[in-house]
Amino acid sequence: MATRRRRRPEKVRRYYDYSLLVTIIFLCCFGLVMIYSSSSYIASLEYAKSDGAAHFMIRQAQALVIGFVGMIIVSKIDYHFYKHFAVLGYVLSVVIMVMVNYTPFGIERNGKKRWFGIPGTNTSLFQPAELVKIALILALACAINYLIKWIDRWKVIGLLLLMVAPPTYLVIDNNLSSGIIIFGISCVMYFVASRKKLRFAVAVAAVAAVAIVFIEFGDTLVSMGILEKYQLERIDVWKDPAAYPLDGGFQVLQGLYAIGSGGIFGKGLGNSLQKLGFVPEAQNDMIFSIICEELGLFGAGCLILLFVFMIWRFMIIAQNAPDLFGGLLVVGIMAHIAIQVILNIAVVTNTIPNTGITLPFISYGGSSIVFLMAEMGLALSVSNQITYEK
Amino acid sequence: MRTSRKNKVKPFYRYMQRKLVLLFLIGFMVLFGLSVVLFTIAGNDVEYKQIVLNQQSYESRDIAFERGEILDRNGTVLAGNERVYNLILDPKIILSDDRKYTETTLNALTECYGYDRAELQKILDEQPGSSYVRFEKQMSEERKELFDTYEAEFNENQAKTGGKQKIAGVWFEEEYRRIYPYDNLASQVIGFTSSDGKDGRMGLEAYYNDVLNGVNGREYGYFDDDSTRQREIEPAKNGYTLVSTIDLYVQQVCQKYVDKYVNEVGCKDVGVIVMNPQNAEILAMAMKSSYNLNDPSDLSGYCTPEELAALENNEEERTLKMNEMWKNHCISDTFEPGSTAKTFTIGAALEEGKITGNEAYPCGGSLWVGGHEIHCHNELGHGTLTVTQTLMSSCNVGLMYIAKATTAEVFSRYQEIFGFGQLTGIDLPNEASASGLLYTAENMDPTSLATNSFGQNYNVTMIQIAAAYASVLNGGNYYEPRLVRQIIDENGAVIENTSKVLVRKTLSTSTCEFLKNALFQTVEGGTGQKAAIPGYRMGGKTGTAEKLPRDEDTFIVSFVADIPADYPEVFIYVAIDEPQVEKQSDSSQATELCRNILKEILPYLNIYPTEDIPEDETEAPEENPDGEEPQEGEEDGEEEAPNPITIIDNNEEYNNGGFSGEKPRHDEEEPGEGQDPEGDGQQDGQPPAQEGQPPEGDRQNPSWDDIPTGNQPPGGQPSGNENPSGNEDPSGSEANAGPDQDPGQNPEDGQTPEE
Repeated sequence: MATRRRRRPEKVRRYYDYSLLVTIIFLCCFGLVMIYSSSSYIASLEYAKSDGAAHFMIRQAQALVIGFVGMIIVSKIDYHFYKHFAVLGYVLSVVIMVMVNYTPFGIERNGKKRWFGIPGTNTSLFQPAELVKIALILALACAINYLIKWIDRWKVIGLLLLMVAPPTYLVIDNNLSSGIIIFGISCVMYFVASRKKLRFAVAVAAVAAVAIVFIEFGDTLVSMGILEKYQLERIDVWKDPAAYPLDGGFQVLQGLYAIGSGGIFGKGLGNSLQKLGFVPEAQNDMIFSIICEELGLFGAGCLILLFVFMIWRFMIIAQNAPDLFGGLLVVGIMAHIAIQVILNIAVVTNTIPNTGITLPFISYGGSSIVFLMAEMGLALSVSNQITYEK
Repeated sequence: MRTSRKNKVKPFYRYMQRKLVLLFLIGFMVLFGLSVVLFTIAGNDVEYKQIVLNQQSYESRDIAFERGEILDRNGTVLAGNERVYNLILDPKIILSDDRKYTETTLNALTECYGYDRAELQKILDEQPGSSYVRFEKQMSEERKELFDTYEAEFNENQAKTGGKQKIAGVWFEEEYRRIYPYDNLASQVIGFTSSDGKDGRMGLEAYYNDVLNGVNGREYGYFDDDSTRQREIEPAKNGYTLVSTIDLYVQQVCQKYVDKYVNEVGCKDVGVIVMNPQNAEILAMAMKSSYNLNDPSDLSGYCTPEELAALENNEEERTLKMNEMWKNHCISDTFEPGSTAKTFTIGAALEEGKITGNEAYPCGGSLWVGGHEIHCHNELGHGTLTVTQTLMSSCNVGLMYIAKATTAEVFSRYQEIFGFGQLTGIDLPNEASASGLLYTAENMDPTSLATNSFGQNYNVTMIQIAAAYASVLNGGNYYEPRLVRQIIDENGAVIENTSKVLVRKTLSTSTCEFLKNALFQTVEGGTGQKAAIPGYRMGGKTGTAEKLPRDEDTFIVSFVADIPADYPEVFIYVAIDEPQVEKQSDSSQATELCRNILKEILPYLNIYPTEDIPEDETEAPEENPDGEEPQEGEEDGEEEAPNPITIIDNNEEYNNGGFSGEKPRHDEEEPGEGQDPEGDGQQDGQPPAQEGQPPEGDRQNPSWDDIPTGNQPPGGQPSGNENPSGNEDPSGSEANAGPDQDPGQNPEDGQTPEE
C-alpha cells in the first residue's frame, strides 16, 4: 500500500463494492439455472422447432451479457454525470408511457399492452415501466437533493407528489403492480430524506385501515360503488383461493401446491412436477414457487438471505455515499429491490392478493434485466466514488 | 471507511442513516415473516404432495394410442381402428367457482345431445366431488363435434359481449374401437380384442398383442391466469402394424368352398390350410366355424336357437361354448392323420437307408402283426407293389413292411424330426402338440409301429402335417409355419421382416425328390386322381382315418396337394371330420373340396398350367393328364378305371389297428387269434401267427415276420428309384395280378374291413 501511494500520490484510493458485484453475478447465474429448470418442459413443447428446451434460458443469457457489460460501464462512470439526465429521463419516461398507453407504440403481449415497440411490426423493445423506475429514482434523488433544506414543508411534499403523480398514474393505468412499486420507491426515498417520523406512522396506519376496510367490508363498498366488482373478486380469491380453482385462484393455488409439496429440502433440482404445465409462467412471476418445490424451504431461505445481504450492501453504500445525491440514489435502488422481492414472495405465498411481480435477477425477462443491471451499475458507481480518507 | 466530503456537498445525514437502518430492519423483518409463512406452507407438505400427485392424473389425461392394424399380404386391412369418444363429466369443475358454469354447461349438454337434465343434475348432486364421470361411451366423431361447435360458438359470443359465462367441466376421452371390415373372415386366425381394444384375446391379436399395442401419450390441461384452457400434448406412440401372410382372396375362396361344403354336405368340422411350402407362409386357414370378429361373443351363428335358449342363463356353459367357437381347429384340434402320413414313413425309411426305393412288397389284403390281422383298405390285396406304388395305391401292407424295415426306434425319431408331438412354433396362441398321443421308441410295440406306419394310432394337428409336408416339398427344410411376414410402423417403415425360421433339416434333397415324384404319381395314376386339375403337374395324397371308437364308421378324410409337383409353390391341406355322407370313408369328399379351391386360386397365384389340356379334361379329372402315358388304350376300354390301381383305390378305406392298450375287436370276432400266446415274441423268427392263420377262412395272408423286406423288384421294374416316372406300366400289371392271386377272398363285411 505504501509503495502504491508513493507511486500515485495524487490519487485517492477508491472503493468498489465487490461483494455486491459477486452477489449480483451469483443471483443472475442461479436465475439462469432456475429459468432452465422451470421452463424447459414448456419450452420443449412450444419451441420444439427452434431452440427447444433451452429457449428461455438462451434469451435470458443473451440479455444478461448485454446487461452485465452495461452495468460495468455505468458503474465506472461518476454518478454525478447522470445528474444531467435526470430531467431528460423523467420527461422521456413519461412520454414513452403515454405512447405505450394511448398510441400504437404500445405493443400487446399475452393480452397485456405493456410493451414499447414499433407499431405494426409487432416487435417489442422493452417494458417502459422498468425505465420509469430508474428514471424516477434518478429524478427524485436530484429533486430531494435540491430541496433537502425544506424537505418537511407541506409545499415541498405537494411539489414532490406532483412530480411523482404523472408517471405513477400512467404506470398504474397500465400495470397496477409496477405502479405500486414506483409509488413505494418514492415513499421510501422521501421517508429517508424526511426528518419527521410521526406523519409516516400515521400514513402507514391509515393505509392499513383502508386495507382492512376493503377486506372486511368489500361487499358494501361494491354496492356503494367505491370498489369495482372485479377488484372484490381478487380479494375473495385471495381469502380462499381453493374456492376458485379455475378462475383467479388457479395460479396462486398451484404455486402453493408447489411450495407445499417441496417440503424442507425439496424434490431436487429439476424434479418439480408443478412446472409440467400446472404453474402458469413458472419461469416468470411464479419462479419462486418452483425454487421452493425443487430446493425446498432450505433453498428458498438461502435465496432470501442472499437478498437480505444485497439490501444490506445497498444500505452500507448509501450510508457511506460521498454525498446526499448518491445516497438517495442507492436508497431508491435498495427500495426497488426490497419491495419487489417482498411483494413477489408475498404473492407466491398468497400473503397479499395476486398481482404480477417478477423476482429480481431470477425471473425471466429480457428487457427488465437490462434495466435492472443498469440500476446495479448506478449503485456500484456510487460505491466506486467512495474514497478512503487518509 | 468514511466518505470524503467537499465543502459544498450535502452529506447523507446521520438521521438518514438511522432511518435507513430502520428501513433495513423492517425489510428484514418482513422477509423473515414471509419465511415463516413459507415454513407453515411447506410444513403441510404431506397434504400438498398428495394434491400435486393427484393433479397429475386429474388435470392431465392419457391420449390413447392407436393399435396397429393387421393387413393381409397385399395390404388390405383385416383389422383396423375407428376413433370414438367418451363423454366425461367433471362435476367438481362444473360446480366450481360459485356454480358459475353449472347452468351454461347443463344447457349445452341438453341442447346438443338431448340428455335428460334431471339425470345430469342427479350426477352433480350425488358426486359433487368427482372429476370423472363417463356419461356416454363410444360416440362417433360427428356426435362429438356437435358439442365442440356449440362450446366454441358460446365462448366466442361471451368473448364478444364481455360475458363471464362459460361452459366447463365437459371433455371427451379419445378411444379407438377395433373394427374388422370382413366380419367373419379368418376369424380364428385374426382373433379379436377386449372391448377397449387394448388386449388381444385370440389369434394374431393375442399372439402379437405387445407389438400391436403402442404407448399412451399424455395431455396436460390447465387454466392460465386468464382462465383460458391451455393444453400441452405429449403424443401417443402408436402400435406397429402386422402384414400377415394371409391372402384375402385365397382365404375368401377357401372359406367360400368350406361354407358351401358345410351347407350342402355337412360335416362335424373341416379345416383347410393353404401354404407356400418354400417358406412355410400360410396363405389361408379356413375352418367350419367362424364368428363375427366385430361381435365375438355372439353365438347365434354357432349354436341353434334351441341351444342358445338353453345357454341363456348358464354363463359357464356359454363361456365354454364361446371358447369352442373361437378355437382354431387347424392348430388346436388333434386327430389321427391317416394315409397322408405315409409319405413321412417312406421318407424316414429312405433317408436312413432302411429301404432303397427299389423294393417290392406283396399285398395280400392284410398282414398279421403282433397277433392282429391288419387289413389293407383293399381286402383283395394290391399284389406286388414298388415303394412308389405303395404310396400311389396307399397300400397299408406295403407301409407296414417299410415300417418294419425302418424299426420303431428310427420311426419314432423321424416322427420327432417331422415335428409330430411338438409345437410347430406357428405364431398363434393355443397350439396343441399332441405329444401325449404319440408312441415313443420304448413303448412302440410291433402293432403300434405297423399302424403308425399308415398314420393311425397317433395324433397330430393339421398344422403339424402341413409344416412337415412343406419340409418334404421344399427339399428338406422344416420352417416354422408363419402368419406374419412383416412388422411395419404407422408410416409404413419396416420395423422387422420376419424371415423364415429354419427349425431343422428333415430329409435330404434326393429323398424329397423321390417323395415329390411319388406324390405326383399318386395324383397322376394313384388314389389322388380325382383331385387332378387338367394341365397342372400336381402332387397329392389322400388320407382316410377311422375315428375312435372304430365301430362307429366315422372318418376324417383328408387330402394334401402341391403344385407344381417339381417345385411346389402352393401346398394345400384339406381335412374333413365326419362328412355327412353315406360312406364317410370316401376320400373324394376331400379331394373334391381341394380341387374346387385350387382351381380358383391357382390362376390368382400366378400358377398356370404347364401341360397340354386334353379337350375332354374338364369332365374327367380321373384321367391321366399326361398324354404320353401308355394307358390310353385302357382308358378307352374302361371309363371308370383307366388304371388297375385306380379300381382298387376307388374303394380306399383304412383299417385301423386299435391302440395297443385296447383290446382288438377282432378278438371277439375271431377268438382264436387273440389268444395267441406268443403275440409279442414274433420277432424271434418263429411266427406263431402264421400257424394261426390257416384256420381263418383259408387265407394265404402272410405275417409281417415272414415276408422279406424287399429287394425283390417287381418284374419289369428293375429300379423304381432311378426311373420313377416309368413305373406305372409294370405296376399296373403287377397290381392287376394282385387280386387274382387271392381269388378266394371273403371279406367279413362288405363295407368295412375288419382288423
